Amino acid sequence: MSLEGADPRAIPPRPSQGLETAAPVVEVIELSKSYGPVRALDRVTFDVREGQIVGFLGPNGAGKSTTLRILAGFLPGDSGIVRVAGHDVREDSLAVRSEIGYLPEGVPLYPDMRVIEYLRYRARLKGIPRSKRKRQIDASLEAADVTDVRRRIIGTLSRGYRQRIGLADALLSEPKVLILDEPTVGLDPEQVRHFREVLRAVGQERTVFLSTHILQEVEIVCSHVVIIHRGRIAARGSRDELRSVVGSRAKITVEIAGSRSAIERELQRIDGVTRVEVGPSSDDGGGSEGYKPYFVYAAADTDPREEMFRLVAASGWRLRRLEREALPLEDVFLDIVGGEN
Amino acid sequence: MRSTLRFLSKVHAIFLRELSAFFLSPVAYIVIFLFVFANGLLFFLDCLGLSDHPQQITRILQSRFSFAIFLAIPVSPLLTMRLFAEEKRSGSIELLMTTPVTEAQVVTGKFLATQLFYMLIWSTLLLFVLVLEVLGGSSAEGFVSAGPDWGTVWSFYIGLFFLGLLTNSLGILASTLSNNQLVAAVLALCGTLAFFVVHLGVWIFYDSVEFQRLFEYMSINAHFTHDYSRGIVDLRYLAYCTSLMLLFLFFSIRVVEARKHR
Repeated sequence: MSLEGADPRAIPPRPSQGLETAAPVVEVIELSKSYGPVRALDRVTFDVREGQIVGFLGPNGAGKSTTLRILAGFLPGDSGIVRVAGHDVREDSLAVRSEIGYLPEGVPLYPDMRVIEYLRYRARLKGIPRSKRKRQIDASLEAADVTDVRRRIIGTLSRGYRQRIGLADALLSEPKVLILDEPTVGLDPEQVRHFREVLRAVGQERTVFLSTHILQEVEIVCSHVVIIHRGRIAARGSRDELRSVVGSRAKITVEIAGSRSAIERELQRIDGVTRVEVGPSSDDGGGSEGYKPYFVYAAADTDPREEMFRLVAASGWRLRRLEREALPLEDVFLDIVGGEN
Repeated sequence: MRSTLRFLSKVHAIFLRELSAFFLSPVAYIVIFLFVFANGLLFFLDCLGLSDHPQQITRILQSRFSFAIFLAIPVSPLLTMRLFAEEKRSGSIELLMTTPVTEAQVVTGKFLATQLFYMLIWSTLLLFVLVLEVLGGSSAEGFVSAGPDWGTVWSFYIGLFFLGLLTNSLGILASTLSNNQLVAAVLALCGTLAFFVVHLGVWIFYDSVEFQRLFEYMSINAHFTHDYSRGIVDLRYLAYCTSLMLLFLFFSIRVVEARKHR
């Protein structure tokens, strides 16, 4: 796990392991992109290695779609290097486009075509030789689990089917990497479950890079995570690394009565404490000297509880609760992306 | 040679898709219906009005052809408005341009499909020519038995084909400029009209021979009423349409590419 930027709450880097030694299929180095005065991407750096399923996680408007469009060769970046399967996106866009399977957000398929017609058309656009076309179309219909609707008109199909037809299309040319933009948005829970199942099966054989704003999806589907926020990479690493970091990062709730500003200041000074939040007063009165809950966020592998108790005792404040809980992934995500708000 | 073939293979794929899209969309059928209906009605009136004329068949054809050209004005905008505007609105342009195809291939494929469909629509006029052929050939009861002059028909269709090159490429350019079909259609309609309205210059500059010649050269209707509905094929007009087509297609390609420069 490595963290870009000078964030005081930085998660310490850990030695990379396992699949990270495989060749990178996607390399993004210092990529920046502005839309007029708006900086959409700011020196974004990450890579996707062969065999990984990487979740590109971030809130809406963080720059996920922009990054994916640049990877797919639809838009150029302003500066930085982007290589897909060894080809530079800017210099050799056509080569990149024949190595990827891209599914844009919203899956804009032609509603007037039949599924099989559409895939035949896409196969020709992707330059799949005639001799392989039928076999590859059948294989991707199968992989995306849409064989049963091959003769149907796309416009009459449900959102879940259309999403998987988009996936079948992305799989057509047996690409080196699948790039999927928010593939489960707009699906009902059952369709989401089915899509994730299909995706996981696909991910057994292929490198996948998918964007999402749903953390749960990363937990279920992905092997690696890249977190983006406001155009910057906030964190990246394997899911297990993220999990272990989450496991050791903790939120400690204390209720202390005493001078609020002094308590806040002193708690902040304790070793390992990254952030202190003051909760709303308990409703048992006591005025400004009454009990107040403080939420103390502690860095990985630290437990400042004893230190806190000693501090409270030494300062003459009163203590009635001291509780440590592990942060769920959701909170880590919010902790990373929400800290600046 | 091989790269040319590969280029054309993608163009062919897009051409087939767009051609089938014309038949799948209701707009095309509405255009064909209105077109045949309007021409049929006018043909009927022509036949009534000119039946006493000694050269009736030639007159009917000329009248039909020189007037039909005005019916051509809305045809191209209606056919082309969808081509890029709809892809941009729905976002399918993103799927299209992330396959290994170039902007030139996409524009060429869509243009060729439109051109073919455009000529298909015009081929309905041949029905009326065939009616004249059959009736003219019957020569019953002392009617003039000449039948239609097929040379005129040919020249008219050559003129139409090149008019199509001009207006269809213009319509495609308009469609690349907007992601709203209606805006694209109106834009294309204004552009197409301009090539007809330019004829006014002939009347405005009635005292200057040079200007009259210039505007007559630029005006589509002048070419049709003077030449193409009478069996004359004027090469200057063909060059005029072809060069404008190349220009409009070039601009269309640049506009589709322009997303990369913003």
